[in-house]
Amino acid sequence: MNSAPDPSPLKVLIVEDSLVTRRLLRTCLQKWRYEVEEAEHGAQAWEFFRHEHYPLVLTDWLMPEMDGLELIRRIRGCDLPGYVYIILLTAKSEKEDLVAAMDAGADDFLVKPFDPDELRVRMRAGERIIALERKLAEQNRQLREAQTALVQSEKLASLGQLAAGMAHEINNPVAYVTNNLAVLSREVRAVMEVLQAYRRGAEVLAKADPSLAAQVADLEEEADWEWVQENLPRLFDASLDGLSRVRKTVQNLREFARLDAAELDELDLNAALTSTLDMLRRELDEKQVSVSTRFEPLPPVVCRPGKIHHVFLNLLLNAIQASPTQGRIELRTAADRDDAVVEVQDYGCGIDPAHLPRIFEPFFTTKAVGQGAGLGLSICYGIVRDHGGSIDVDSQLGRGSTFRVRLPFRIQPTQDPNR
Amino acid sequence: MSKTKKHPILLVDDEPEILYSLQGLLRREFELYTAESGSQALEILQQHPIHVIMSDQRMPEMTGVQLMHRVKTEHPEAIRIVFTGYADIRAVVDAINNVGLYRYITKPWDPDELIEVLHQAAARYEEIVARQRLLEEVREYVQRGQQFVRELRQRGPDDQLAGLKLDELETQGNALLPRLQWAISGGGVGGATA
Repeated sequence: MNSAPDPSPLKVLIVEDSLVTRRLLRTCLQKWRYEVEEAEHGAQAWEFFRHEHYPLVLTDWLMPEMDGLELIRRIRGCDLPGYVYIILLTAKSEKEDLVAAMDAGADDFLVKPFDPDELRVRMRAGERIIALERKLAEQNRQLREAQTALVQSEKLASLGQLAAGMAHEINNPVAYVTNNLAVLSREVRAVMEVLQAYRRGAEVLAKADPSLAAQVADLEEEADWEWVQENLPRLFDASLDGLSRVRKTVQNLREFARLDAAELDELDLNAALTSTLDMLRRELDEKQVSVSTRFEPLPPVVCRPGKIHHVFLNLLLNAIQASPTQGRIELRTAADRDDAVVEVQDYGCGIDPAHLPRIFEPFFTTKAVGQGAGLGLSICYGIVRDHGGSIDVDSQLGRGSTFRVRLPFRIQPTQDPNR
Repeated sequence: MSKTKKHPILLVDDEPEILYSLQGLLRREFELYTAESGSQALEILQQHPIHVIMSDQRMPEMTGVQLMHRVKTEHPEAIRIVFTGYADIRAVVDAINNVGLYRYITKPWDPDELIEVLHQAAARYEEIVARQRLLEEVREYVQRGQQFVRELRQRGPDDQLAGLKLDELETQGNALLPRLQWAISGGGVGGATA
């Protein structure tokens, strides 16, 4: 073990019924800066495992209650949070015994009485395996995270298309229904006025044609004239209110960029860019686009990491799409006073100067209908803006584009990205 | 325009329900014509004097902006309005600059606001027509003046000072006439540009 102090010493569980051997082992292991726990037999050790995880176990074979092999079988038989490296301590050194031990799931063994030097190298071998296993688990976790981010961004994109399509489909009927209702309201008011005028002649009618007057009175009663007169305006108003709510709902759907509320966290932008690049490996390879990076060391940025990943993903995807086959993309980071600056430069088709002022506008797209909702950059813009940063672009048609994102290292207290 | 006569307005939309609905709203205040396509709209413009044309942007075959391009060259006196859903606003904002749209109205529209906009558009038409008439009258007046100046000169001016004045008047008139002609044919701020 290296003499440099390890921030978190490896936890080792000694399972041994002999007090002397236990103490000997403990002395050695503590000298090498392991954190040591002792159990007198397998059953006690198994009990310990219910409360705590031990990445490394040194166990005797023959013990009362539960022997070493049974403990090993139990550890291997259940789903523990990480790998357990098990060294079996034994006086048995026959080949059949060792095969039985390895078969049960022991990783290594040490013959008693043990030699401290041998114990040391076997512990080290175990540590190497544990380190590898942990690295693998971490990479796995990152991969899962990256996949989740990708799924999320795709979900956002398809939701954007859905919202845009829906807005268009709903717009026309809502437009004429609203209008018809306004027309109806006006015409019904006119009809009511006409009726009121007739009603003023009720007395005349009663004298001139009593049977018709009675018929009118019946009809009025059946229709509940007073109620109709009183409630018609309210019916129209309520319906118009309802329609304006439908309109608002459609509008709200469009502001989907703020659908998810992510937590604030510190993010290493350089690492984030690297992992985004890894995510886009397939797209890069497909077009044989090479990426050169020039990262300055940056303090962590307080942000909503998922959203910033989303921005980088979009900018890099755009750069890849703009690049020709075997093209080149440059990725730079730098610290500029209170801001982190990220630049994504491609040497691709560039942006038409006429389009340049509008590329961050929602629904602006140069792609054919159905190929892109024109929301990618507008979402990026919204995210960066909500973080108190800025995004801009330099572009020359046929020469390429440089997108520049500035993010303050500390989000301003007045800014709430989930507003 | 007197109160008794309604302004003729042409409504263009590929969805008949929209046209029907608008007719209900506007029939009392305007003389209405409807078309379900750009080409149908152009036909109606051939047959009737239309003061204001209002078209949907998103239509098959000819979009509202494309239609307005044709209207601008073929019937420049008609005031042009496009109404559109949110996603098409960009195209229409372009059109305001390129095709000289008077206004655009978003779908769904506010009924009262729409009536107001159409009245304003009709008033704009009146203004333009009145200005056109004024310009033509002024041109006629200047032309008659020029004629008179030439006659006076042929008769021989009374003295040298009068001769100089006649020269000056003729020069001014010669400079004014092409400018008037240009303004009448819709140059500069002419036409229906807001």
